[in-house]
Amino acid sequence: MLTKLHFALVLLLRYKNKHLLLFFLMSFLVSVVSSVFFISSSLQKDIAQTLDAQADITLQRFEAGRVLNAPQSWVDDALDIEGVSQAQGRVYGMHFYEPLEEYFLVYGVDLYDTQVVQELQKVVDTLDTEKFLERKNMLIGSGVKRFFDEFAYTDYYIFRPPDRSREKIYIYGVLDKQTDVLSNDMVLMSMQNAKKVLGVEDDFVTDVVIKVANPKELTTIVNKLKMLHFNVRIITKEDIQRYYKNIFNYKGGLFLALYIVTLLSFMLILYQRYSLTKSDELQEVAILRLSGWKIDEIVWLKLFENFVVVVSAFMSGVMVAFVYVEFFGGGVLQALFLGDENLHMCTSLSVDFDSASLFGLFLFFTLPYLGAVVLPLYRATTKDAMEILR
Amino acid sequence: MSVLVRRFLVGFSAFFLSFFMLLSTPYSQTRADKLSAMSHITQLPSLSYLSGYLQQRVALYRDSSSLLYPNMLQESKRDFVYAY
Repeated sequence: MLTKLHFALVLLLRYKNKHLLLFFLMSFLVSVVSSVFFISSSLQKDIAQTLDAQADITLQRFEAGRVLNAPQSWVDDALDIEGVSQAQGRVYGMHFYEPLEEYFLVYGVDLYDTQVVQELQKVVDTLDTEKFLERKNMLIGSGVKRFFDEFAYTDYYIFRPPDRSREKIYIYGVLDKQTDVLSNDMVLMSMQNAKKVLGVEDDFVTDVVIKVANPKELTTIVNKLKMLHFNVRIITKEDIQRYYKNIFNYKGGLFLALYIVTLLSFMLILYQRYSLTKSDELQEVAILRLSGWKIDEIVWLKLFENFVVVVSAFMSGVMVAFVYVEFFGGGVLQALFLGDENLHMCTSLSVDFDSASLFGLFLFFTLPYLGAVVLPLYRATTKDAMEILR
Repeated sequence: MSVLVRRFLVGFSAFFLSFFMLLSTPYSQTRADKLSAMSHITQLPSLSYLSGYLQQRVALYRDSSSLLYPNMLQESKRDFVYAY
């Protein structure tokens, strides 16, 4: 056994240039697909984290196919329904910066709510609410910060509400970069300022979010809300989850389809190369047959030799991808999922992956490779060795 | 056991071990807490995540849904052709 292992290693060293070339090529292929896999699964984890904290129901006023601002009284209407544990009105909307066609997501927060302040202190290091409320201040996401820096809005930014007034809002701080997936284009300000900037009237909110104490009562509560107002659109957390899953599957699937084409082409080249009757490998097999090696011994030898190459390449590729995503944020590949149309986003990532999927990738990668290499060699063992050598 | 085999076994085991050690790096809890906090504050699905095309569509949609914006988007035919 050890002698054969030694022989296999000697063979590996003998053809090290060929094996190294294959190793680098395969490592590159694996690292690209693993990077996409890691980025996709990490973003899915991020999104799952955010969706867990979301309200169960979003209630919008929907008339004539358009979303309109909802009356503040809808919050009280929702709270009157049995089973609703929390309901709050949200004020948010897009501020359009016309010269560059960029959008900021303006969001109003209730800074008198202690729970909101506690959560805010987790994402802004130096938040002092009293100081924040002293004048018109705002907290901005990393993408907005880059935009403001580029156009020299270092201290404040002047919004132009629909009533043609000017709202000068000072930059108080920047939201943590780790929350970029959520906050890249976000501008947080007090509820009153947000209403002013977005032109939302005093007794109105953008929509109403509702939390339900018992998930089993969700359908009943949705029905009650529909009975309460006919001009509503109700979006549940499941709808949003399904929507995100579709986007991930679509984008991941598109990439996978392209990758499969590349991988198949690679395997085809390998298969053709190893099928050539004058290849070194076939002549080596013929010599081993003439030296008295059995067919299964030769197959195992070749399997081992290539298995070492393919497993090392797979592990190296995955390790490179892991480092690339975890420490360098996935670079350009990130744009596959995050897009770059609005404010540029280059968020950090923390890898989270499913071991079963990685194992699936391993099988998907190694089995075709071993098949493409070992099958032609196996066929050669059954041929006349002298004929191959001739 | 030959020196070559021993070196191979040691080297491959070390490689294997480092592979699993690297991959066992857990998802950052700090990141999870911060994302969760941000989500609690806004209760918004992560609009930043939406890729370019979708984001553009969402923006157009919201514009047309009479949320009053400072500068109403001037939607020319060319813009729509480009968007599609």
